[in-house]
Order: sequence, then C-alpha cells, then structure tokens
Amino acid sequence: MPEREPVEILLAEDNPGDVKLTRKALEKGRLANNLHVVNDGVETMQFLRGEGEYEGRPRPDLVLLDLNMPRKDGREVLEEIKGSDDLKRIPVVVLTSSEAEEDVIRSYELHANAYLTKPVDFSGFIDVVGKLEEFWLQVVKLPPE
Amino acid sequence: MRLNRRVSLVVLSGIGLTLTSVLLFDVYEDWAVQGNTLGSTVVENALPLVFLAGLFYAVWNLWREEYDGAFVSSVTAWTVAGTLTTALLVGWVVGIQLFQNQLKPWIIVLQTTVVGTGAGLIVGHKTAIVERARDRSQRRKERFESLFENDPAAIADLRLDGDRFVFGATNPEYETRFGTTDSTLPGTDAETMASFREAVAAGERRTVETTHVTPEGRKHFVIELVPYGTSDERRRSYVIYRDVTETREAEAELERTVERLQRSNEQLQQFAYVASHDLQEPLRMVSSYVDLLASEYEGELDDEADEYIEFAVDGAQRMQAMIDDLLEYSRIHTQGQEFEETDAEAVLERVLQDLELLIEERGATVTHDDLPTVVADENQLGQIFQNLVSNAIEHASDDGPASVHVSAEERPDAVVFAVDDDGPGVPPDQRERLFEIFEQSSRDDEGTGIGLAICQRIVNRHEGDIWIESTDGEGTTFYVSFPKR
Repeated sequence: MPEREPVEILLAEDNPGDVKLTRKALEKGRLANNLHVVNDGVETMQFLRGEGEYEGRPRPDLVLLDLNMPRKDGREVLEEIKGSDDLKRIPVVVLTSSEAEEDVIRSYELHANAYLTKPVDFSGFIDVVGKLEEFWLQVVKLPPE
Repeated sequence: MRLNRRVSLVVLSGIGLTLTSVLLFDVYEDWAVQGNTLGSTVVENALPLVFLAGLFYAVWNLWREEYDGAFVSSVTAWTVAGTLTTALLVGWVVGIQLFQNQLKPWIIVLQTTVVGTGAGLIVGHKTAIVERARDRSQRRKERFESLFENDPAAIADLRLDGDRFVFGATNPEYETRFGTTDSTLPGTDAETMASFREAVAAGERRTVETTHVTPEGRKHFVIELVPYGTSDERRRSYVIYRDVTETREAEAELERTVERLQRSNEQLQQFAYVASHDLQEPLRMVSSYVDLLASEYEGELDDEADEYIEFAVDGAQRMQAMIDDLLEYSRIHTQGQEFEETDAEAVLERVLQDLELLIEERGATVTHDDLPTVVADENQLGQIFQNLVSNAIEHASDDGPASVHVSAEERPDAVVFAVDDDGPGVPPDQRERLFEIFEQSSRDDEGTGIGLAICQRIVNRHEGDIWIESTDGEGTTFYVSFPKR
C-alpha cells in the first residue's frame, strides 16, 4: 500500500468510555488516522463548518455519529449535514447502541451512509471499527474534496 | 282419571241407550197396543227427552271439562239437588193426575225420576262450571296479588289519562323505596316520560336504565314499562323498577380491575424493555473495558489478577445473556407477528437446520412425525421448537447422547405438540417452577433459564397451554397446545 496522508476522522460521541474504545480500536487498525472528537451536536456542526475554536480544522473524510447526544442530537446533526451542499458528500456512519427499528429507518431516511450498532464486547468493537475503516477509507472511492 | 272418564262415558251411554229403548217401547205400546195417537204419545214422553238432553249434556262435558275431585262432588251435589227438586215437583203434579185419571203408575214414577235426573244434570253441571271459573279467577287473583305484594322489584300500576300518568296501586317495595306516590316516576326525566306515553299509546314495552338517589343512597334501576290494557280507554301499564346497583357496581369494579391490570401489565412490559435496553449501555462499558483489560494486561499482572479478570469477564457475559433474554421475553407481546396458518413441519425443519451444529456436537438424534398446520406466529412457534429441542439435547442423561422425538396430536379444539426425550427426567418438585423466568432446574448448568419462560409466554399469547410429564430416569415430555381458530 502506498504511503498516504493520514485520514481525518470525526467522532461525535458524548460518552468518554466510547471515545476511548473507538480510539483504541482505531489504533489497532492498519490505517494512519487523525481522530477528532466532539462531545455534542452543536460542537459537531461547529467542527464541520470550521467555526469558532474549530477554525482551521481539517475537513473530515468520515464522520462517526452517535445518535444520543446533548444539546443537539445525532438525528438533527445528520439532517443538517445532509441538508448542506457543502457537507453532504462527507460519509456519515451512525454508530450507536440503539437497535430500535425506528432509529435505523429514520437514520437512512436522513441519508445516513451506514448504520452500525456498537457491539457489546471489545473484540467485536475492534472488528467493526476495523471493517468500517477498511470499507469507507480504502475500499470505497470517495469524491474528491 | 282417564280410566274413570272412560268408565263414566260407557255407563252414561249405557243408561242413555237403555232409556232410549224404554222410551221407544213405551211409544210403540201406547201407539200400537193401546191405540193412542202418535202425537199424544210423543207429548206423554216429552219429559224423558229432558232427561236424555241432561244425559247428553253430561257426556258432552265429559269431553270438555276436567273431572277432578271437587268438580265431581260439585256436579253430584247439584245433580242430586236438581233431581230431588224436579222429582218432588213433577211427582206432586202427576200424583194428583194419578188419582183422577188412573194413568200407568210405573210410567209416571219412571218419568218423574228421569225428568228430575235430566234437569239435575243440567243444573248441576252448569253450576259446577260457574263455581270452578270463580275459583280459578280467585286463585289467579290471589297469585298475582301475592306476586305484586312480595316482588323484590318496586312496581306501580299506572293509567294514562290524556297526557298524564295517574297512579293506581303501588306495591310495598315501591312504597319503601320511593315513599308516597306523587305524579312523577322516580328517576325519570321529561324525555323518558314522553317515551313512556308513546309506548303506552302504542301498547309497546319500554326499558330504560337510570340512577336515582334514594334514602339508601345512589341506586341504579332498570325501569320496565309494561302496558296491559287492551282497549284504548283503558291504557294501563305496570312500571317495574329493578335495582341493578350491585350488578352495575360489580361490572364497573371489574372494568376498573381489568383496566388496572392492563395498565400494570403494560408498565411491566415497558419496564422489562426499558430495563433490559438501558442496561445494555453501562454493561457494554463494563464488558468492553474488562475485555480490553484482559487483552492488554493478561499475563502481565499476577495469577490472581488474571483470575479476577476472568471472573469479571464471565460475569459480564452472563449478564449480557440475561439482558438479551429479558429483551426477547419482553418483546413477545409487543413485537409478535400476526397469527397465520403455519406449517409446523416446515418450521421444525428450519429449526433443526439451525440446531445442526449443536446436534452434531452432542451426537444427538432428533426425529419427528408428520406435523399439521396450526394458526400461530411462525417465528414464535419456531422459538418454542428451538427452546424445547435444544433443551432436550442439552439435558441428555449421562449414559449417552439424547434422542429426541417431536410429534403432534390433533384434538377437536387444539393441536398438541409433544417433544419427548430420554433424558434423566425432572423431579416433581421442580416441574412447576421450570416455567418461571430465570428459574433453572438443578440439572441445568447452562443457559440463563429463560427458555421455558419464553415458551410459556408465547403459549400464553396464543391462548394455548404448556405442560410437562416426566418420569425420573426415563425422560421428559413437554406438551404445547395451540387452540384451533
């Protein structure tokens, strides 16, 4: 594999436990990446738009989005991203603990690119994050920025 | 009674025929031998004709009336009285003639008796019939009066006078409940009264239900209006108040209880779902980090630390399994599919495919008969088969792998499936509790013990039944019945 720039991943997640797990899982992955973390929906939108403290941030290649977040929840964030001409091409993967059917349906209706349920054990989690990384950042051909 | 009547008929007919012969003979003798004219002979015998009429009247009544003891004695008394009176009368008149004209004495005696009897029979019967009718109407009156007086319902007798109801009699119950009568019916409004007037005019019954505050408190009544006068001028009716307070209160209480139960049931389901669902989140943290701990630090700490980690991992895994089961359990009612005609055999085949690995691993044998179709939730029927068959395989006796057989029996009202194994059996004291949630029998060292509780709940949803028959050391049979729909 040719040497390439590290990929930029934005993780929108309010639970520090999950943040740590995701970070760990990505560390175990094969791809060099920069993980940026935001803790609520408002921060997520600020990051994506490069507003306030996030001025000059890199544009993420992939967004991992939790549905249940304070201030502005994942569904609203998803709606805003997919409703924005500037942001809608960024792949958004919903990564959540909800198995509820209506959450799955609603997310795809809002044009989520994928919906994943967090596996309960760590090895399962590593597995999922690894596959996610591989598929979205290596297999798939994404639009140029 | 019947026999007596027949005997009476024969006897009376006999007397009638004999008498007719005597009369005919007398007419013949008077006319042919003594040379009287035919006219005078008939006149002479006119009186016996009265007797014959009485006789035939008696025979006629024998068909129509019921000759019970009282009637017979009444007829007899009046007949005797009538006979004697007439006999005396005729005897006196004819006796005078006898001395003057030297008539044949035996004919006169006969005629006197015969005429008397005939008249007596007529008078006797007529009087007895009138008496009986009077008795009957008296008895009927007493019966209805007693009903009216003692009926537990409050009854008022009303007459519609123009547009106004006028009270006739009221029974004691009415007076106790509603006191003295005025011109209004308790618990009725203008609309009800209008409807009652209409009903009386049309001769139709009306029933309304109402609440009325009596001195004993608030009561529910069913008011029934029963018109009974036939002619237009006599538009009368009964108004009957039946106290249905207890029934209505019991019904309301029952409804409230059902509602409470439904609510509590829903809350319970909601609770089970929320508990299991929301418990997932922190549990995922525990098991993930214990996993992480194990993968990064196993072997780097001392043996004891490794053991701690192992216990923690095991605990988290078991908790996860329980939560999964609890979720499944709580979803049986909320996320079930509709009941459809389901091929049980196809469902079982599919389940056996899913269980292939387990069956191979344990070297178990699973056989089945032809299975019928049932009306069921297909997935849930599969769950039942899966739980019962895997249960049987997992609980094989120590002697060797399990041999499981699935069969079905069609009953008139249900299909009963049987899953039969040759395992060690279930001790009687554990059989009942087997179906409780998280209840494991002593033979069970794997699984969470929710499988049978899930079966029970599925069966409940289908309004069927599940039960166990087991012989110690000789195996267990689980029966599941699905009602036909």
